[in-house]
Amino acid sequence: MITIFRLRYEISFLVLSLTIGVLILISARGLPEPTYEPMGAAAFPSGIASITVFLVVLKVFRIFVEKKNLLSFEDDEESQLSLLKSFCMLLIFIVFVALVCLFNISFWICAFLFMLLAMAFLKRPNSFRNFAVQCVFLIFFSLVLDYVVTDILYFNF
Amino acid sequence: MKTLMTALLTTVAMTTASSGLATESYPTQPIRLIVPFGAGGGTDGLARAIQLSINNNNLLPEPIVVANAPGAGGAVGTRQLLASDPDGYTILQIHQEMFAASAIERVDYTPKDFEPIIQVSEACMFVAVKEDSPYTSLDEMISDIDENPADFRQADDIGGATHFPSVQLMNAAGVQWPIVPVGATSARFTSLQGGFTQMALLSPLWLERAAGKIRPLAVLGNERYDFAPDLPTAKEQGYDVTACLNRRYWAPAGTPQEYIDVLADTIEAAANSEEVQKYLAESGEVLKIVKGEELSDLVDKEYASFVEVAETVKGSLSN
Amino acid sequence: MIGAYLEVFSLSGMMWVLIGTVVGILIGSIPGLSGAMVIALALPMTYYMQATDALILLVAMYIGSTTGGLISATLMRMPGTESAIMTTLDGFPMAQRGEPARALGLGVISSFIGGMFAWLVLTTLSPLLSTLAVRFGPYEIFSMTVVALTLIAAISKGSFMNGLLAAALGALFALPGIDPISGSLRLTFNIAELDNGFNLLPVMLGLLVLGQVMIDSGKKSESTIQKASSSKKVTFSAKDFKENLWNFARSSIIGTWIGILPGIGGTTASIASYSVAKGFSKNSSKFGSGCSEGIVAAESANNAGTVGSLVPLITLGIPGSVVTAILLGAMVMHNLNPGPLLFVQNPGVAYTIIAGVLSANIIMLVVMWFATPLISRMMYVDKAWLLPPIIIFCFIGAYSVSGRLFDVIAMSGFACLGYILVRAKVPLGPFIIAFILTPMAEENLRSGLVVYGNSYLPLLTRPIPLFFIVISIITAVWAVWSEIGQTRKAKL
Repeated sequence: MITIFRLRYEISFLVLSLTIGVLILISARGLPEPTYEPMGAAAFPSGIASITVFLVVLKVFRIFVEKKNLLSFEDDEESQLSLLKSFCMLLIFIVFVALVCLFNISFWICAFLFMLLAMAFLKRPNSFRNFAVQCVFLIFFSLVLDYVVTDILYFNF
Repeated sequence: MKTLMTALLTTVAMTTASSGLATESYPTQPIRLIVPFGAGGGTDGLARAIQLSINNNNLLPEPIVVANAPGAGGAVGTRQLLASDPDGYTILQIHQEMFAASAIERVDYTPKDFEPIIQVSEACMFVAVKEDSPYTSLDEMISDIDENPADFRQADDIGGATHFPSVQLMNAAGVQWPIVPVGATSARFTSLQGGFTQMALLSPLWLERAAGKIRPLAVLGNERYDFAPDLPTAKEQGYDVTACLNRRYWAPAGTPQEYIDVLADTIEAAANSEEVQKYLAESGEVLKIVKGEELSDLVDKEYASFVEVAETVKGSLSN
Repeated sequence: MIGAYLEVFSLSGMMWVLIGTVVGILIGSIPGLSGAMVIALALPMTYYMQATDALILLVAMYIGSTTGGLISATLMRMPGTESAIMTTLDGFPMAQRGEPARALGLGVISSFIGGMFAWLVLTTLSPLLSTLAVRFGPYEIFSMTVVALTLIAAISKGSFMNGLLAAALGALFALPGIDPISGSLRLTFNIAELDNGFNLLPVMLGLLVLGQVMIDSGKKSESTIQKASSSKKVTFSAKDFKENLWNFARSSIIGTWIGILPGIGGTTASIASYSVAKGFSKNSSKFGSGCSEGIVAAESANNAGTVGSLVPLITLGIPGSVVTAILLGAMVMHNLNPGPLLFVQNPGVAYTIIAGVLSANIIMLVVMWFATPLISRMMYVDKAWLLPPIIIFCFIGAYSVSGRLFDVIAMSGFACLGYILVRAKVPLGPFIIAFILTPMAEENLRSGLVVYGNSYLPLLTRPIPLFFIVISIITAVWAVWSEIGQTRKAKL
């Protein structure tokens, strides 16, 4: 069980590769026969997908055979990373995207709130004074970005 | 509570009134012009020239803004128009690539889902061979293909806007030849130069740009080019095929007619301005305004001619 | 010709070059904002400018942005532009080791040398090389991409299988969209947004930038980057230069040539040059762990490729990349007729571009030379201040591709994928390289079949494809062989 937990990223990677490989293998079967040249639209997808599936099988086989090697250590870099923190960051970003694109809230407000929250999340503000300075700076920065997005790039969220 | 209600009602009434007013004073906000291709290309060039002319000469109370949305042969931008409200504030400029995509059913929309506003320009392709090619006319080319079909290839873009007239040319000539998919006109020119293909349809600006490297055989238009009066049309040589790209402006279906009229008149005025004339001359295109009923008929007729050869384009021909 | 140089090196000419280069470097160094984006934005503004000023401004931006990409690639392992992808491999490990100034200095000098070499080619051999380049047909390009693809095996050291699997996955993600040959849709699973497949920008931003942001923000404690001791102030040493003399020359030649080929570009140039450098190097095992050769190979080649792509533009009027297409648009806009006759009809314009390249290269070197010590301190800035703005820039970059939410969603998805890959110790390089090269290989192989009447034989009868294929077979066999050898050794 511990082995599986330690290999959780390897296993997710393999499962993901297998799923995509099989998915493409199946849908490549539905592609039309080649008309312009002998390879056709399906040759590359089925070829590469087969290689993917083959490599996954080979890799799984190796994990079982060479169990010992993989069990050996957990390096320090690994223990320094937190999955939760990373995905919280992504979540904050997704909320930002939803606010901008789906709820049509002003870009600068979203950008300001996002950056404030993300910065506070990464590093807790240590004094009120610093926090206030940060806010002022971020509001200014967000307004500049808002100008770029609406009046130069003409984004239409 | 009552005051709040009154306030709310007043607001609602005012909004209705202002939107009612808007019909008379369209536009009240910037108009977004979608260019479904990348910056620097022919579609982008004309759109920006028109935009510049409208904004500089204050032809509209509100500015036009150009937004590039490249991808999938123009389908990404066209879909954005499809998804936008028919309120006259989102328009699109595209040429026959739109017909091509729907004729081969690569997309689930047809020209019927849009309202044509105005056609501005026309650029008729010409048949080009390499400078050292043995052919000097369409007849020579066709009869040689008849004899040695294995050695002749055309550089084009399978399923693209010029593939359809290429098939029409094949039908008119009664012979078939393979098409090598290379992409845009610059890639076709490259392929001709490398000797990998023998013929390509190029846009008129290449006549001057590639002078000395290619030999034009025929204009695929109804008339000869003004700047090259010696080059005969395909029709004069006995092949009734035209391949013209017309840059047209579109609005989503259901856009009020009076808005379309405002837009058509504004774009026409811009197209007649000096800046746009200069741009068109430089890019080898000619001004060809078509609008209103006439344009709808033209679109229907042209789209039908695309659908007619769609099956062949989709791939019944092989080597 | 002299007139053109005088104009470019005049006060106003230098001003436009300076503005262009600095803006290019700035935008290029921000992950999320690409050079192509700022050049596309600048295009309409140049309507109001003189033709020559407009062209040198755009050319300077192009060169500046290619160089700027190395800054964030080196300091944060986030490529600022597409062509800096390969620079992350060695630049970041070297900077992390405590030598950010050296890594940046090497990158800047390499960019300069690559750019200057390509400029020399541009001034002297343009017409000749462009006629050669158009003879590089589909099979030639296909076999060249195959050589570059064998790099995947080379940079997957220690995790050969993982590298191959990542490459296969990258190739699969490059397939959906419009089939390059038949023009019909494939593998889109009825999702209309997938019509255009996945764009490179969102994929790169997600996998390499946002994924890295996720890793960085998940660090439990402040990372301990060693402060540089004595080498802190040294931006460039004679030793580095001497050791890489041959590498500079080779990478510049490869970069320039690949840049000249229409439709290939600086990113592929640096991939190819990196793989060749590794093949030739005595210490090839150090590639990927912060060796100077890797930085030199990647950075000389991408700048050489950038300048090289101007060759087909000014000699034949063929735009070989997104940016050169915009430059072509600028020429048309200003009534300059690009094409084979440009040198005849408007020689001034051709020489203005060439002189602009020279002056932009010099200004880039000067600006970066003075800025490098300052920029390298960014390495020690708290990540909390940098990551949130980078995320916003990624959002803007992905959305700007064609203004749709889909690209942002795709970017977030690829960020998760990148995170999983990094945590599973799967190298990201092979993924992105396969993603870039597979469509190129497929399109050229299949259109080659149409050109040569369904025959694969020309791959072996034409000299250039044969040469490349032999090289790639040797590389592949050698890679597998040494991998097997290593596994055996590990077991014993």
